[in-house]
Amino acid sequence: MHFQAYFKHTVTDTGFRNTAVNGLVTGYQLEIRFPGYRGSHLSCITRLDLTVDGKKVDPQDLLFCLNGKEFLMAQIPELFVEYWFILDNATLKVAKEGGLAAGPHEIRVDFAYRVPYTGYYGNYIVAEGAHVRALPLAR
Amino acid sequence: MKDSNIKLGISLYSLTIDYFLRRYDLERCLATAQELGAEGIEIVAAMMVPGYPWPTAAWCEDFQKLLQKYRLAPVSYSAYVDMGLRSDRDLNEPEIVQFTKNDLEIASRMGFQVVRTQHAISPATLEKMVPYAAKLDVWLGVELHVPHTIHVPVWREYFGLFDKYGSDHIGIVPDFGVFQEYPHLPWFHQAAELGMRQKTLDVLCPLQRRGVTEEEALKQVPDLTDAERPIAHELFKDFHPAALEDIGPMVKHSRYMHGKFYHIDENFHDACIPYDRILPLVRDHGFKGFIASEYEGHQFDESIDATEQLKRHLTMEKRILGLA
Repeated sequence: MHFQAYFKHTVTDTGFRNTAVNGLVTGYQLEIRFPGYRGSHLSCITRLDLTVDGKKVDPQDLLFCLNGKEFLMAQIPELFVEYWFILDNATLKVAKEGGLAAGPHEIRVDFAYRVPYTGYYGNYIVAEGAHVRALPLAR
Repeated sequence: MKDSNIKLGISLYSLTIDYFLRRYDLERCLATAQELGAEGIEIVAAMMVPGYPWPTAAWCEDFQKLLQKYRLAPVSYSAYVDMGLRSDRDLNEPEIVQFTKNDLEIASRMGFQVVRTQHAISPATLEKMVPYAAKLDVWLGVELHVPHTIHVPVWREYFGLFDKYGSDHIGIVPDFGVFQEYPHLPWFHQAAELGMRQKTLDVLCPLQRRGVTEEEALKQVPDLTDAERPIAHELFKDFHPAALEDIGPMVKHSRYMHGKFYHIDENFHDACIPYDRILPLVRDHGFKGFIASEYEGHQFDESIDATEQLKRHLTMEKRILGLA
């Protein structure tokens, strides 16, 4: 039951909105916290799935944004020099032309991470959990 | 507080939930420590140091000024051995040495003379750190944590190093969780939240207390659910307390201890970790240094007021030690 306390706070209240470039609505974004008591190297993330209104977002349409940079999901396992400070929210950016309709949406984040100090020779604890909540899309 | 060889501090880790939910920033955590009457603090760098593992020298200086503002001693900088930070392989020894040197340097810049590290550092690597710790005048303590006792092979090796080099620059940070006998109240709260039925606990808990094996005990619960199975397993796996006789050898090589706790009741009593027997032994063996109250109930039930728990823990310690 260790490390379970934080998952229910993963998706934050703030920052859920459509994104636009030069008038083209390119998609939408939302913010998440790292669901643990301390920060983590991004390479410790072993699962990060976003599901919106019951439909899983294709990882190829997803960007993970932190420390002033934007990463492809496929890059995450290699990011062992990027540190996620616990008070910094990460932004998930989704490419979806036209964005989402205003109003409430069901957001689900499935998250798992390796706790890098908990084991020897591969036997690390992997903390995993999910957070589901309704969030209103800001107009 | 009366003059004493034992000084009482708190680990800011105790305030995890308030910090994680952005209710308290670092300064508010320090102010809380002062209000509670703590003489010093432990900080978990990976949690509360902005820019970690590369904080600026300016931030480290500002941190020292904050400690002075709240009249708190810098007691311990908590470091990790993040051996599994890469996806492709474990860190090797030269990398662990470099990361640990980095932690010793940050700690020193922040004013700490004690750095807590973890057993995964390995005896061979700890031995390599002795000269550097001496040059920086830092004491690098390895935390003795559940499920270890001082009798497991790796700890026999650590004690061999303490005998060889003395304990001026390396040593042991005992975590009182090793003396935990039973599950604590927040554990029961989380177990219920995860689907453990009270009727199952009513059967299993007395059997755990009597020392019955997991296999035998589970025969008494034919309708154990899938949700209950891992929790029942923890109940029988996690609570095997170290002997109180181990406190003497710990004290000999320690200058810092973790006063781990999960719940102190309104009568200032810990029902799971026998503080009333631990603390007099720590004192009578001549311990000189800080004990930091380390509240960890927040990992199980975030609705409990951590500051109130710290207040009760400090009060309990003072009463037992005659410092009140």
